[in-house]
Amino acid sequence: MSEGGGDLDRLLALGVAAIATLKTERGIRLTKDLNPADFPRLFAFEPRFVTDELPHQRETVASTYTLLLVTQGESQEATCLKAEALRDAIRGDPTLAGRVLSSRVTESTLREHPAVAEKGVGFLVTVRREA
Amino acid sequence: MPTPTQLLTDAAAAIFAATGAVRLGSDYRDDLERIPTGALRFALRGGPRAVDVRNANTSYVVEQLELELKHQLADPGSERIYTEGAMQTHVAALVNPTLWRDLASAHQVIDVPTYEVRREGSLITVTIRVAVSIKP
Repeated sequence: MSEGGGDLDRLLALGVAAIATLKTERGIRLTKDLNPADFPRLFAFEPRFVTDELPHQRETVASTYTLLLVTQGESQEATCLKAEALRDAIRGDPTLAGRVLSSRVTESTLREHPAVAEKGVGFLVTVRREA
Repeated sequence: MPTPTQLLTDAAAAIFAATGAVRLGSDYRDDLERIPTGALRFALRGGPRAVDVRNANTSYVVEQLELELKHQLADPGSERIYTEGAMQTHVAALVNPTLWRDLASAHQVIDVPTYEVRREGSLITVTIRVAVSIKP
């Protein structure tokens, strides 16, 4: 499995541990193609890698992943509670089970619209490793 | 009469004997060579700093030496296995003036060894500085 894929799988597993009813998916889809039973749902996508040079031909690799938590028909507060549970779960596993040197949520935003039944919380997760 | 070059050669041999570290291909560039995980390497730089003429009958070239001992941690999370283990033994040997005074080309230690340590990524670097006069 790819390095990024392993990180994404671990982040999704943390989501399931934090929110028992959560469905997960690597990648992203239009929510209109999903059924009500498919929510709440966590998408993991857009791996991005930035390297920084270290002495003696080594480097640090900062990987950034986007997680999107989508709820349907839930209140803003219920969605926020799920988002906090997910953030706490990631905070509680700062090495992604020993895969990386550090991992943390660097940004999260809840998006909602009065005409849309779904609410989405986007997370940016940054992990660091040395290579 | 020993030369500064001879002193550097003697020092490199003594450092290897004391630590088991292998000398890097370059003493001045840190981007040319990869240090394998768990390995110990060193860079040694030096040059004449002054001429000691306190003894009116003889003058001594004083060589300033700077040693960098580099260890690539086997596990980035297990720093203290090295810093509180083998590194202590290495530093103790290298800050001992006897090691430098006993070099075949050395006359005496002018400035006793000092050390500092830093970490970049998983690389631990110990820097030792010492000044040694060369036998006339």
